[in-house]
Amino acid sequence: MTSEQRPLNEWALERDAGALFSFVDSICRHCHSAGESPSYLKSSKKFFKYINELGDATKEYLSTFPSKKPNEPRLYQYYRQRLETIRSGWFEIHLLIKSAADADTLNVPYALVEAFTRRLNRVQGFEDTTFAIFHIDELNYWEIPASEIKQTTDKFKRYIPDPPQFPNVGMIGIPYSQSSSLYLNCLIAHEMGHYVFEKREVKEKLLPYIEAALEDVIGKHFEAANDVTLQWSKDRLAAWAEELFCDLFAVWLIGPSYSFAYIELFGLTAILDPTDPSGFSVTTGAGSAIFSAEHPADLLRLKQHVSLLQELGWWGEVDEIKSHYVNVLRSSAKVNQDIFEYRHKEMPLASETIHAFLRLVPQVSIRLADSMKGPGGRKLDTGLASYVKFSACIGQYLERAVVPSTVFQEDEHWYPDDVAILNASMKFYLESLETLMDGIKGQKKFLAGHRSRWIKRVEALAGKAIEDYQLLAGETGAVRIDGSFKRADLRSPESADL
Amino acid sequence: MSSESEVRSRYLALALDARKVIDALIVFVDKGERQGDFDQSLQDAVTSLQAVKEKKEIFSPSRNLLAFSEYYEQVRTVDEALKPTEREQIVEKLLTVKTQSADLKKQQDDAFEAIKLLSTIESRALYYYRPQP
Repeated sequence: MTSEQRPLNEWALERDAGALFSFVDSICRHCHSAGESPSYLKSSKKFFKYINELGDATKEYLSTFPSKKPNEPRLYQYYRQRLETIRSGWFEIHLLIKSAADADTLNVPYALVEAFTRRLNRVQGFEDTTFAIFHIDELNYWEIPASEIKQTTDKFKRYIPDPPQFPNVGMIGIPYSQSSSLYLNCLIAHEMGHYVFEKREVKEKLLPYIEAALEDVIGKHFEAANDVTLQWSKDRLAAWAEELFCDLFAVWLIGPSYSFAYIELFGLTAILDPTDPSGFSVTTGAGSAIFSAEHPADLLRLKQHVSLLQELGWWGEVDEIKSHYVNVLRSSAKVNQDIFEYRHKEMPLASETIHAFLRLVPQVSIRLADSMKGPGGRKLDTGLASYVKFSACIGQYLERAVVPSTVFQEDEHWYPDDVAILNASMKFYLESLETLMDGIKGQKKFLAGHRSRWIKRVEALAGKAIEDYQLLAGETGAVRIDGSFKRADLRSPESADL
Repeated sequence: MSSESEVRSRYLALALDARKVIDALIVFVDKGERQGDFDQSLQDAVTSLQAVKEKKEIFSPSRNLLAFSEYYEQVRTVDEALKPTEREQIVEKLLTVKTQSADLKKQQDDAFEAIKLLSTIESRALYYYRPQP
């Protein structure tokens, strides 16, 4: 040891613990003020409060860390490393703080999240579920796995005395730029599906079927298969099953608007090919036919959307929409399953794993149906009846740029429900935007900028109607029929008699 | 759509679980004490490390007491960090400590060897977990 070197003793631990204390403190300071602000959803505030409490507990622990060091010098290094593991845990939390702080109520699709949540609240076991929204840099939607954050922070319990309880909220990340979008934010419904998948322990229920599917496909080579490779296959099947479950959950929760939003965000109209007799062409290895580590191929996912839309009775309505988005759905239903490939073809068992997944798909549907039960075992209604009743009328209101929160039909005033408004306005957006533009002077359909303005307007009108529905549905005297409400008779008793 | 962070968090779970066992062993080597759920922690580690070799265990819903073998990333990390013989050594040494099948000095030496090997897993998992600047 040279004269400049300090011995690795309690002093060094004090210094290192102090540095980590400072790191944790700087993270917590960011969410301290946010937690107090009135401009956050209640669930976001719960999250901020939790982080603050966890930070206090961690800092308290770090204050005593050096004094509890082992006596044996050979253990020093291994004791010291604990600080790095705690620091890494806080890396995980750090990633979430700004995302949560950016997502105040002015910058999240508040009405849509509330509408989806209200529908989920009708499913047994999710009556009190709420979601915190996070802004993310990526142009994608995430469910931030609450269970994994909880698992991480639960593991802190081994070091930190009396850590706070993780709040019972779902956490969803949306692209920061899309807070005012209505249609793309339909993808939030898929993220809610991840929360349901986890809470219903669907993965655990699927594992025996995953094993059986792999065994069926690999056959006699199953026993001889390399353990690490088999683990890889299992993880892929579980991840793909989860994604498919969430897609189907979203279709059930909000109807075909989820499928249309999916097609739009991922540019899947590119598969359409007017030169091909079938109307579409997908070659083996095309992007939409590729499975990635965490996601099944887009076309397989859409194919399953169509199956569920048929099963739920939506397909007849979808089939009537005059849009090339519907052609994408029709085409995906015809896709030959041989075209699917894994991103890295050289991966052992990649092809077999995809084949095993195709066998697993029916089990995912069974688990979904099982998960959508409301009180008394009745499955969550799809919202189709209300859509069928009001779709045309909502379209007429949008054509005149009027908010369709109260519509007049059959000599009565009605409040159409969220699913009807969302899907009818999506139908209008896909096939009739031009009729709205035709009624406005100087609007040119061939200019993307002009179109964009009216797309935003339609989204705003529909978004306002969805927001209004939350209030109108609570009107005294309103009569509920198929999810929508007939307005209360507001006339005075005298005039009603006339 | 799940994110890459979900995959990264699997590395953190592995590091945290390796740390759990290391911490229990540090107290044992330093003071000879078997604190709290010491035996259970050791048994969980043994079960999880052995699970990688049992095909049936890979598909068992209730097997994952510790994160040495829950996901592919974890199995691969353990595989990279340790040679198969070293993995067997950890199991062997943890069992010696758990069953107290040697004198205290030998148990503490075995515990120290296990700490070194588990620390290698922890470091490797943290390396994969952390974002690089």
